[in-house]
Amino acid sequence: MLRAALKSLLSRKTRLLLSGIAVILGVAFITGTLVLNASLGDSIRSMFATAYQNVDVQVSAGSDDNGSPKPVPASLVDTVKDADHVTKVTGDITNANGGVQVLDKHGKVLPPTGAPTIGSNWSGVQSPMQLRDGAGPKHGNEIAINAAMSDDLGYKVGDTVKVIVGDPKPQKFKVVGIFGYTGDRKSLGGEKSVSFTTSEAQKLLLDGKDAYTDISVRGDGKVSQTELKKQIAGIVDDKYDVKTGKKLADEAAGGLQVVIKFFNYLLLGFGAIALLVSVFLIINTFSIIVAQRTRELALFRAIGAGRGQVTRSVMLEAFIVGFISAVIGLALGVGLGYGGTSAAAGLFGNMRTTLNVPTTAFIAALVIGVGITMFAAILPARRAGRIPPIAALRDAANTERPVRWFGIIGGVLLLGGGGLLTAALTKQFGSATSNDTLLAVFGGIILLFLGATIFTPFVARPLVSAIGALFSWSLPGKLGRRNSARNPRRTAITATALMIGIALVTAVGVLFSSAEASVTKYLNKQSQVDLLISGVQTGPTPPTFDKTVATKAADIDGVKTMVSTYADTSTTVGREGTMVDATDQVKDLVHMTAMGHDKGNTSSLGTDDIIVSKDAAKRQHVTVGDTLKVKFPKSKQSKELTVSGIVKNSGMTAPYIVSVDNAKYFAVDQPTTAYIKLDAGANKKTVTHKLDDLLKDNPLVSVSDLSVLVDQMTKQFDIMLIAVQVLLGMAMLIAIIGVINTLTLSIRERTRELGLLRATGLTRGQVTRMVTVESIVISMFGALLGLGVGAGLGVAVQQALKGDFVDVLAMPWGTMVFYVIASLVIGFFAALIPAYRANRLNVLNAISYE
Amino acid sequence: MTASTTTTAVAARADNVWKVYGTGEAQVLALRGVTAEFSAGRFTAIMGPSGSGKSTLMHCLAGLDYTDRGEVHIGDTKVTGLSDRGLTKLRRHKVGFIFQQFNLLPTLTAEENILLPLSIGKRKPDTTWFDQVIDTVDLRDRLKHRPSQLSGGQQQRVACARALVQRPDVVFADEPTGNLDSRSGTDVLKFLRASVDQFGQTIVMVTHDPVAASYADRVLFLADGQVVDEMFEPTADRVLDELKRFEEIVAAQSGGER
Repeated sequence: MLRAALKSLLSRKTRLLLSGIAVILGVAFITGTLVLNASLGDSIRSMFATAYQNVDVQVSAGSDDNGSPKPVPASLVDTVKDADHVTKVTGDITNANGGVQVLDKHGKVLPPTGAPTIGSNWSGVQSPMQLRDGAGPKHGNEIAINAAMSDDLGYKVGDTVKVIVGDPKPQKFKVVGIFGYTGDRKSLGGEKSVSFTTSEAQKLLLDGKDAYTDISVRGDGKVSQTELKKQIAGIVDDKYDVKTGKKLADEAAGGLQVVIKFFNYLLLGFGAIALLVSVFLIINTFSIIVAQRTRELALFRAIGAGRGQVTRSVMLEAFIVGFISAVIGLALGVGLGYGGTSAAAGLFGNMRTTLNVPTTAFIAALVIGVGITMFAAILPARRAGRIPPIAALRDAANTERPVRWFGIIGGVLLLGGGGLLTAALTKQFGSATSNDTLLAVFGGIILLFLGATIFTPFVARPLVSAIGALFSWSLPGKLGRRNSARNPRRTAITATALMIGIALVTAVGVLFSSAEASVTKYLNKQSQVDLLISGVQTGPTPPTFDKTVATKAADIDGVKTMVSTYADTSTTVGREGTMVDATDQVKDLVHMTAMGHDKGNTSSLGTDDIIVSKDAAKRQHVTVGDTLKVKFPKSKQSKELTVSGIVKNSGMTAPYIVSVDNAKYFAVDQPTTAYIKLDAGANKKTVTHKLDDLLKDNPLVSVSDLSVLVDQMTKQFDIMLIAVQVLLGMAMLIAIIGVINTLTLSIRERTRELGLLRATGLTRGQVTRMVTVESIVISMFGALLGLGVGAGLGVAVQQALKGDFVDVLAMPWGTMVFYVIASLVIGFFAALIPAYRANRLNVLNAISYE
Repeated sequence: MTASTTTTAVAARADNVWKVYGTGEAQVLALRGVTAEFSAGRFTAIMGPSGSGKSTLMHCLAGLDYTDRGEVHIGDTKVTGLSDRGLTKLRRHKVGFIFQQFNLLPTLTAEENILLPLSIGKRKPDTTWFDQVIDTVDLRDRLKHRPSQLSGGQQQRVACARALVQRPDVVFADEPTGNLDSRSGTDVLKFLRASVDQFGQTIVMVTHDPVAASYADRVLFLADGQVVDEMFEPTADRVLDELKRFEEIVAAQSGGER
């Protein structure tokens, strides 16, 4: 029996390969992700280990509220030097949180993307650092930069560059040296570095104090880092943090790893979807194989095989296919993971990569590959066991099984899901943001998805016939249409695989386009803001501009209204660390940024008043007349502010607005943003130029046209949608393989029929057309189902988020039409191989085919 | 299966068996109260015009199909009402099959096909018996061949050998020569005859070929779902005459009904 099963498997290699591909791709995706995670993690850890290779112990004083390091007095260096086993002590001054900005040759600040700019003091060259050109800075107006900065900004030794430190006014420095790292690296991890002399760094970064941000200690190697740390911790004051170099490297790597982990979960999610789609493909392949082997399996039964034996023989096949696919998928996944790591290393300045294949990758590959295949084979295997022995004597006609139960069960699930969703959206479970409601929405969506999947075979025949009607002007078209409606279950499963991917893309598309439309509508139609003066925040505090700029700007011809706001990002309201805006023109601000009056007084603001957004009021459980404890960075103690008004939304501003009188307690008492409304006939360009002139000494802040902002946002949504589509491409690819597989197997099943058709005069071209129509009908069926289900889900979620800024419903028509056309193309190409095979049949053999 | 089996023992029995296919307008009474006994160690042919129910009777006897009324026994085992497990056991140990077509698994060699019933039941083949069967069907030099490398007659002989290798109480053959040319058909029939004479095998064969029927000890004639006649020691000519007579009767009956 075992041998019979194995031999039968070997004789159907190609067919099983097709279903194997689905598993291979799914497994490769998952293991690739795991390998990427582990390898990238290792590479990052080793990168930071290199960065801290000269540090055995570091002494620092922790950070202040803004996240900037507190200074360590220079005198501490001598204290630490006296400890045993210490060979070298270096005082470091480092600023890595955007406090130092080097301007490019056009006088602009670098965008705050990618690795940061690090400002530090020059403490000599030690491995892995290498001097590439020039020398270290010796005078206050000299700096050394790393090769990454030199390459990116084009600065060479002898150039003069502008650097901004804290103060928006740039200062000029002369580049005297360029350094890199061993292994021809331009940076350790993609960062751009600039090094000043120690005294200049103290002046710029530590308000001129004779201090450092930390002290690095090098031991003599006779004691462990931990031991050295203990000794030093014993002699310095308790308020200092003493850490080993290893700990520092781990901490630094940990921060990045959180981001990588999140990205990984995302990838794993898409891998799971791909695997879900493969389940459908495998179910179909095995069902068809079992159907084809009906007589063979019935023969087994006739000569004494039990049900269990037949079922087990199919399960054994599934195990073998799953196992082989898992092994191939694992190998492919390791390759993918390594490729991904190398690509990601580019983001970290050609970081050295290490390949790490974690045990979880092996386990996941085997468990998923074998598990998914065997799980999917359960139904077909059970069906195989139920084949009666008498089937060996009948012609292997496909007995049609009723689809009524699919209709009933699917219908019940659809109704249940729909009901749950409606109830949730009509707030039967409490407010829109309550946990119960979200749970109900989520549950409803899952039920709808399941219901749609199960309901599909029930509607397959009428829908497929309807789609097929488009193609039935010719005989091959008619035959193709009928063939596709012949086995509704099979057609439905094939189409469902395609449906899943397209439904998800459509749902995401509906959400994105709705969000985009909502934001655009808000910015274009509701807000009265034409121009905006603001900066991109790179450091702990948002960039600011001079108060006189605001007054001068208001006088420019064509400016109708101008509202400037002060922002602070490290205020605590109640228990919430948040951003707070201050303004002296609250009425104009509320009007121009279309906040919308909700309750109380939103047109004036007293010193002890605060206006909050509706959402924030809900979070803080306050309403008009209540008080909120507010702690500003520079106020000695918390202030009790009275909620004087509530606004509907705060899309452009902070959720809390206070009087300008409180701006003196802000970290920086200067305006951060100005909202400008122009006169009806004003020339936007002229005004923009004049504003640019006012700001020319301040490279951190610029004037922007709101329509440009809208464009940028639209682009971001588009990129996100494309990313989702690419990631779901795997699932769709598997679904396409499913279409090919189903067609190939159906054609084999109908060999005799095809022979008959060919014998009665159907040309090869006509056979090709017949197969193509069937293929296109199945793909279009899947696409239309996907669009329907996806649009339904997307609209449901949009309705659920209506209160949360996604108030406009916009359908992604372009994407949707694209998928209908794509399904036509997919159908066409999926038919190529099966049609070729159908045409290769020898007419006579086909008729006498057994 | 030994020659010591007494000729009076019954290997298979049908007792007032009814079988209905379809419902309503499309209802067909395939068997209408068939009662028949098949003696052990004998070769019985079942004949009748198409639609007479001969294949249905065989399927019911072999436990491949369920009866609607009446009982079927194989040896001492009551087939009617057996569970799937019971039927599987019955097929594994007591019944052998030879079909008209699709008899062999294309992926297995002739030898593997012959031994399949034993390997399914995880039993060891009895080498002497196996050799005896192989020599009788004259397949010794073909054992390593695949079915596609064998002629139709050879394939059917492999199927015969497979039916015999497990030493069943009864071998049921459904038109075993239907797909073969006359020479190959004769080979198969001679082999079936020999297995009855030499090994005391019980064989029930459905056929529409009078020549094939002439190899049997006894012919059972079915018409319209009922047993209408039987004949011992048949010859091809006598069977042919009998069949013609039936056709005339049937024609006259249906004419009369109109």
